[in-house]
Amino acid sequence: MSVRTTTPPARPSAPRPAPVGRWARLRRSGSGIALLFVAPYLLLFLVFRIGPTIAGMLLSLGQYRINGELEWRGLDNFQRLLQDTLFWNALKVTCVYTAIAVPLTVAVSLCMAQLCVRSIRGIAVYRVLYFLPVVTSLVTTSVIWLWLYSSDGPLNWLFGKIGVGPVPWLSSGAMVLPSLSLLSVWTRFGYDMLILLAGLLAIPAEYAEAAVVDGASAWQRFWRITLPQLKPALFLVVVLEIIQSFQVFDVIYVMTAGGPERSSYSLVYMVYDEGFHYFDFGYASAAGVVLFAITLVVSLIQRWLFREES
Amino acid sequence: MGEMEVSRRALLRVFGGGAVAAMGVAAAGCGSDSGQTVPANPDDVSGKVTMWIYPIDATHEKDWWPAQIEAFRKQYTKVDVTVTVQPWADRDTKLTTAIAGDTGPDVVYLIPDQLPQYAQSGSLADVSDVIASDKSDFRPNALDAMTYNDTLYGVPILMGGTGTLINKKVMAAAGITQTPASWDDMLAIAPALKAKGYYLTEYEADPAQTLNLTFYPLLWEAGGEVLSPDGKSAAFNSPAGVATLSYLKQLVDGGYVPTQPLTKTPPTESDPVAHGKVAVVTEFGVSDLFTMPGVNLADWEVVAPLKKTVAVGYGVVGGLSVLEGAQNKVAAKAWVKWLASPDQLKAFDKDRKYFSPRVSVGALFAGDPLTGAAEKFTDDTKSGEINPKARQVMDLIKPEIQATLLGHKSVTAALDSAAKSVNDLLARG
Amino acid sequence: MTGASVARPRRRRRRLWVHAPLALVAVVTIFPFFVMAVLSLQKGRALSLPGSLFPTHINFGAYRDAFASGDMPRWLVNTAIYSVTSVVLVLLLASIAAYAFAKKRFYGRTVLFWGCLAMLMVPYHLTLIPQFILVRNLGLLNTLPGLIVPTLANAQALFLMRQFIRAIPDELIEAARIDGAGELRVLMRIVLPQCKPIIATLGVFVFLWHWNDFLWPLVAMQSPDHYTLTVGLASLQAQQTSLAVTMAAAVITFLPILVIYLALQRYFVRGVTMTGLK
Repeated sequence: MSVRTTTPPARPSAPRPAPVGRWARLRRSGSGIALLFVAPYLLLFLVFRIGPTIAGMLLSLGQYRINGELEWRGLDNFQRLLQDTLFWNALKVTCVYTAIAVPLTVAVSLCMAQLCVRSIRGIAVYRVLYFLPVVTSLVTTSVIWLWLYSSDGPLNWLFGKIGVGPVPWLSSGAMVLPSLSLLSVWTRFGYDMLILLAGLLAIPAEYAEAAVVDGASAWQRFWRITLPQLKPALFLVVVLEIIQSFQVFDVIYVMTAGGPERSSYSLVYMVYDEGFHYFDFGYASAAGVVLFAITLVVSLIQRWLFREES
Repeated sequence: MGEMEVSRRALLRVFGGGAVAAMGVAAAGCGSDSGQTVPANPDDVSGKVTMWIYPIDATHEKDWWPAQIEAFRKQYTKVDVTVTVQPWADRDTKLTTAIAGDTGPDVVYLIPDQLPQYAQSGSLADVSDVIASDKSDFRPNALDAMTYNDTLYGVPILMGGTGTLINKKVMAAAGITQTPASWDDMLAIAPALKAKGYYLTEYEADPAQTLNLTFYPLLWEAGGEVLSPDGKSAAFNSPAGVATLSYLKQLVDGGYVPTQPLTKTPPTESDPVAHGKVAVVTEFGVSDLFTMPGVNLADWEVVAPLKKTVAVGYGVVGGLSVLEGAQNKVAAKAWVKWLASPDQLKAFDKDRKYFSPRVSVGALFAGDPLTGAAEKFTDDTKSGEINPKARQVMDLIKPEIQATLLGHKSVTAALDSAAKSVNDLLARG
Repeated sequence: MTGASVARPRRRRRRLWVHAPLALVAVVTIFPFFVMAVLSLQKGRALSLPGSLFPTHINFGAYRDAFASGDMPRWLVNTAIYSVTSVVLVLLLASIAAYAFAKKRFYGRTVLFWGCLAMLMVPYHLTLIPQFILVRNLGLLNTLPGLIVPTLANAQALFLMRQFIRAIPDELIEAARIDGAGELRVLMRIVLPQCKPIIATLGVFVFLWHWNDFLWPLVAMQSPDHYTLTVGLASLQAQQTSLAVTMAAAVITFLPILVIYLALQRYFVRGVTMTGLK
């Protein structure tokens, strides 16, 4: 509670007696106060996130019934996963979706951030508009897009007018993941754009000016100055996007139910299906643990790729 | 269950710590105890009952119940009843979570698609004693739908029916005078409809759609079954199954069905049926027709389910189950018994445009040209496979049927590969 | 903005070149919202194109159904409490912790931080039952704290805050410290003001996450008195519900958000772009 004494504003910094002892050492290093700062968050996190997660993951080692029975089965569930074509398919779908959705979303966000960074008339209005999809719930978005994508929906109607299609947006195994990725771009670019925009604005204008003097083209300036300077923001966006794509669920749940022919049956969908649809919570948990491990590894690789030279 | 149950509520203990003790949960969950039947005298029953129901009658469901509770409490003065209307969306997620946390309702509305899984997980109580006195009044197909492992786990309170719906206007426009009664009839009139720009029927192969409404009824009509009688192996790859899938393939290849529903069911507002493009509909009931926008009911008639060898259609059965974890099973059963009495069912079913599982209730819609016609086929319905693995079985068959209809697999290859994965699943126990 | 008035032809063409894609994307962005609004007003009509997009008949039936329930105001209040309380507490917890994670050295910092972030990678359905049991054991089921508290430790908020606080120059903090400011003062006077844009942005996000949340309120609140708007509206819908009714529910949920968003947007959109992040 010693913190409280520092709260009153504008108190002149009177010299204090030199503190002594362990607490003082901690205080001088700032380590004690740091722990105090993170404590409330960590406590809640530990109890309400990590606790349930560990409990949920432990189920992967057994067979759990909703009436409370738990029978330990070692690694059986994981062995079963390895032989399950459903699982391998789900893994493939998740990876393909991520491989399409993440670069697409990041690229669009980056382009839009570049466009929005200019201060031209009306830019504020654009920025407000672009953010609207982020504000909507995924379920609502999915229902709207379901109609937009339907074989006689507005998109195909429009395409028909120019003599193309009908495009089997959600009805062909090859098209379904790209279509869902497009939706992901629509829903997420406003969010990512804003983070990138903030990053772009933080780049000192002198850098670009100096490069212009040196005769660098716009493209060169983008590669040599903007991109490296944008690294932290870009890292943030890519990490969040990848996690998001690995966790893709709502959209699939509402729009395709994993179809057609399981071509959009993602790993998280499998976790849901095995758990709350088939009541096989142990197996669902095993699939979830694998997904967690994969996401973690990918994120660590990213962290290494984007590591800061300091 | 003694040994295999390493520790009851192990999960709770793993992380709930001392709180488990505070819960004071009786571990006596196995087997239904006797002496829990509803006594003859209502005054011998007391306690609290909570029921979860879903908006069967959309927006008005909530308003229905206060009057019922009041009427019930006139008889059972010592029982408190709370009815809450839960959303359909994610209902299994909510119910499973609640049961796992020992905070489930005492009574819940379930359909045959859900019932066996809850029963197998030991979450439902045997309710055969609730209807013991007048079991013969219930339609056998309604009771079958609520029975798992020879035990009745739900008291049926409503039945739906799918007769065959015929758009007379479309038929007339294509110059067809005879009403189809069999698959052969269907195939015979298909070209004339197609020539006029109409579809013969609609088939939904959307994975979100249950096979109970689509593939299974056709399979039954062809004399086939989904699983063997013991529920331990696949039976849909029989000649009847081959005939069914081939028939569907013929419909698709001939251009007799719209293609969109093969992958994704369109919103009702843009369903070809709503647009008056489809002549014969077997996939949904009359009540769906009522809520479908743009439909002129006068254009429609209801005839008997189609047949290849047997005339049978899908009919949903809704029932009330008492949970094993109910605080007061006697009170819960008393409430269910009261709700399932003929007088109550009459009002309940009529209000929601469903049919009564009790014979003694009689025809509820005698004067109604559509619902009344469909009501006549209540006994010719089945409600799907009663098996705790039914959903998984379905999900294994769905993509194979879809692959066949989209032209990626042959009929036999699809059925064989589905049968193999279903047998693997069932063998795993 | 002054440059806009100096309208040389080349400049104008350039501006057109910038405006064209911006406007196109804007149209693509808004179109689905237009669809949402338009479809919600056509209960009981079959869809046809292009007629349905430019309706001549308007029917408020879908809205009437939703508002027929007397519980609507209560659901709104519940949702508002859930969202607002969560926003305040999430931001408070996350910014304090993020400051320590970004600018302080302490034992286990990296591991703890990445441990928190890793929890974002756990499928939600996996933790649902344990979390529910935990809340029940704490006796918080069917209460607002039970709804709110489990969502407070928000890893995404921590991650974003920490990333932005790291960008604040250490010299700024050191200077304040030399002036004798305590840690909390540094945080309140130096760090948080620098973070205004991200706090505004994050605030809107956290608000939305809670406002639109369905599964946790559905599971944690068992009686209709405690429903949030999303859950309440769903409890009025038939199993096979029409597009108009779904869209009307979407509009009802969306409108309050839109109002708040429009009221606040200048804080964060302009905030970000004016100050930048240094």
